[in-house]
This record gives sequence, structure tokens and C-alpha cells, in this order.
Amino acid sequence: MLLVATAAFVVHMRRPDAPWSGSFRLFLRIGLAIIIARVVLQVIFVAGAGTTLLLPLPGITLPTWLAGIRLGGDITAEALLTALYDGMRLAAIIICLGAANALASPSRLLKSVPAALYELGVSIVVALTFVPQLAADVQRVQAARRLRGRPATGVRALAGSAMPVLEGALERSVTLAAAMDSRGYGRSRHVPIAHRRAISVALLSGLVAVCLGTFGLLSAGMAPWLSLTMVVFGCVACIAAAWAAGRRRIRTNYRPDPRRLAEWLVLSSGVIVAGVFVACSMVGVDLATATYPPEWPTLPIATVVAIAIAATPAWTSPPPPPLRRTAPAPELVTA
Amino acid sequence: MITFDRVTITYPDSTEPVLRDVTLTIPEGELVLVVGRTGSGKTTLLRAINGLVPHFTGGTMTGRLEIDGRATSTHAPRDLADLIGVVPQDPMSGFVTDTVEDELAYGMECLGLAPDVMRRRVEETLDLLGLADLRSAPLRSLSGGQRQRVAIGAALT
Repeated sequence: MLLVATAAFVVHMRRPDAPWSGSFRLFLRIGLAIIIARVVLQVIFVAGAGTTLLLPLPGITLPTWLAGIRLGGDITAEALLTALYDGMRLAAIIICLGAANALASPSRLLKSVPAALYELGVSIVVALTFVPQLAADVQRVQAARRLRGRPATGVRALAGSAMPVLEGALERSVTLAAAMDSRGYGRSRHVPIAHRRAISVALLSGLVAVCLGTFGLLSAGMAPWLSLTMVVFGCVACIAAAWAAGRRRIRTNYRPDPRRLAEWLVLSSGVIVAGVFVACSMVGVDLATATYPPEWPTLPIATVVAIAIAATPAWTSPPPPPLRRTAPAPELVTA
Repeated sequence: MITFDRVTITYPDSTEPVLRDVTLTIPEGELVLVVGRTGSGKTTLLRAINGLVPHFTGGTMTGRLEIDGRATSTHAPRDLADLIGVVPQDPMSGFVTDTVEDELAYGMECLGLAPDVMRRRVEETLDLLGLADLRSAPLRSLSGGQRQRVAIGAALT
């Protein structure tokens, strides 16, 4: 709960007026929907555990050929609380992701991505920028439907507008890919074929070594030193291959992003919070609230301090630059 | 110098070619206007010059199309990006970045130009097209005409 509040606070303080920053509300809604869905599922499928009865309901157990699932049944406080906590945990993760999404400029993020992962990063960023675009498309299609005197809301309208919206999104992505290609995206230095093969071999063998080594570590079927060496060797091979592949890239940066004090402060606040939570779980401070029997949630003092630190970027990060608003263009309705 | 030598282009889902036996030469410094009816293949002709047809659209192309000695059959659009600038009909559909300045620099970043060269060219283009006040404006907030100017600038740099 506190975590979510902190995320919302930081977003509110430092939200730039950019196309990607409107998405936080959407993520909040998704979080709420997750909590509700989790509780409802709990009521329908796994009610009945625990002793504190809230609402007695009849239940049926499906026959064994339907896997013997129990439907309905008494609703107990324990079961409800478990569901609520589970849902809240998931919702907190989603909402924190949403906060990051609303605050970070994807293209600035891209500048810090290592050369080898650049292409992957671009596809992710382009995919991210499509979400607000999609929302705008839905509104456009709905407006067009209204102009033609058809219902703009409801299930049938949604079905009617889904196709044009998806089609538009697909078409736009192909157009964008064509534009990026014709502007030189993905140009690379000429690399001799032997060199390229060496990179592929190194990458493949590295991945295989990491997989085998991890399997050995987890299953304890191999000698620990052997699996550990394999993991290390695999990592080194992968990093070397990625570095060599990245050298093919000829791209330069127009405005390098310097790391200043503010960036370091924000980064360290994140690291401190993560550290405190890891330390808490290591020394055995129980962060999860017990549900059998239900008890009042406790709050260890260390976590409260950590969450307070998490809120500091609201002041330490630079405020978003003020925007010059240009007069909106009169838009032609083409529908 | 752009040379078309008996270029015939057929899209995958049609039997009739869009362009048939096009042979022409456009020397350096020439200003050329392509005029024709709707559906007569103007866009195909223009997109063939930087290789988007057929590299991106699919279809078959026979004949030879060379730009400054580079054939589009062996060079993908990205390998011709230093010779050809494209301004799309809907400028917004071709924007990759978020702000005017970044958009002007994007093509040069892809070509691997040195930062000081990029900075000089971006300044020149901003001045040339009267976009200097808008340099850090988000592309979405621009008017249609301003977007067109940015797209032209991005093709010029």
C-alpha cells in the first residue's frame, strides 16, 4: 500500500508533459482490476479454508471427471484476506511498472543501452510508443461511429471498432519500419563472414554452457565446481560475443546523456530500498502478514524508512522542463 | 545520378505489373516532378528509388535501378540512406523520436556521423526551415505544416 502511494507521489511530482506519461492512470486501473479479480476468483473456486465465517454459502463439488473442483462454499475471512494480499502484491508490481513507464523517457533510456542490445531496445521502445497511439485511434474510430449515428459504446461498438483500430496500428508500424529503414536504421559496418561465424559460435556455446551450468547448480547432479565454471565461462562467452557484435554498429550519439549528481541520487535511492528489503528477508523480518489466523498487519520500521527513501526522487530528480505550447492545429476529420 | 534500365515491378497479389519497362536517367542537380493519375504508379516509382519497393513491400522487380552506382537489388534502403532522403505524405507516420531536434539528428546518428558535424547540420537545418524556436518541442504538439517542415529537415540533414 505504502509502496503504491510512494510511486504515485513521485509520478505526480515529476511527471513530464509527454505522450508516454498519461499511462499511469491506466496502470492504476489495471492494478485495481487485478485485486478485484483475485478476490472474486477466490470466492468462486477456493472458498472454505479457515474458521472465521463471514458469509455461509452453499457450495458444490464438481464430479471427478471435471477435476473435482469445488465451486462456491462458505466465505471465510482468512481466504478473503489471502486473496486480497495476493492481489495487492501483484497490483503493487504492476503499478510500480506503470510509474516507471510514466516517468522515463524511452528514447533517453535507449541511449544508455549497450551497443549489442540496441536493436532489441529499439523494438521495445517502438512497441511502447504504440500504446498511447492505440488509445488515440480508439477515440478517433469512436468519434467516426458517433458521426454516422451508430452507438459508440457497448460491446457491439467495441467489436466494430476493434478491427479498424488493429488494422491502423499494424499499418502504422509497417510504415514506421519503412521510414526507419530508409533513414539508415540498422546500418552496420561490413564484417568478414568468418568473424560473424565466430560471434555466433561464441554466443551459442556460451548460452548452452550457462543453461547446463545452471541446471547442474540447481539439480546438484554435477560437481558444484564444474557447474560454476560452466556458468562463468558461459557468461564470459556471451558478453564477449555481444561486445564483438556491438562493434559492428556504426551509430553515434547526437547528445550523449551525462550522469550527474541527480541521476546518481535517484539511482542510489532505488538501490538502498532494494538493499533494505533484501536484508530484511535475510535476517528474517516477516514482510508478509499471516492470514491463519488473521492478524493486524505489522510494519517493520526499517521498511518504512526504506520506502521514505524511495520517495526522495520527488525532490532530487530534476523537474521536467517547462513546455512551450504551440497552438493546436485545426484537425481535419477524415473518417 | 539515378538510372532506371527497363525496370518492371509487379506486386505479389496482382498479375499486371505496376510499372512496365521504365527507362530513364535523372542527372545530378535535376529537379523532377512526377505527375500522373491516381493509381498510375507514382508512389511505386518513388519508393523503388530507395529500395522500399520491393525490399519492404514484396513483389518482383526486373531490370536494373542504380543510384550513384549502387543497385537497389543488392542494397537495402538503409544502405542508400546517405544518398536518398524520404519525406512521407503523412509526416507523423515517419517520426521515430519525440522532439524536433532529436528527429533531425536521428538519420545522422544512424549513419554514424561525428557529433560536431551533427550539431552543425542540425543548427543549419533549424535556421533554414525556421524551426529554431521549436527545437525542443514535442513532435505531437506541432501543427501539420510544422510537422511537414520537420520531415523535410530530417530528409535534408
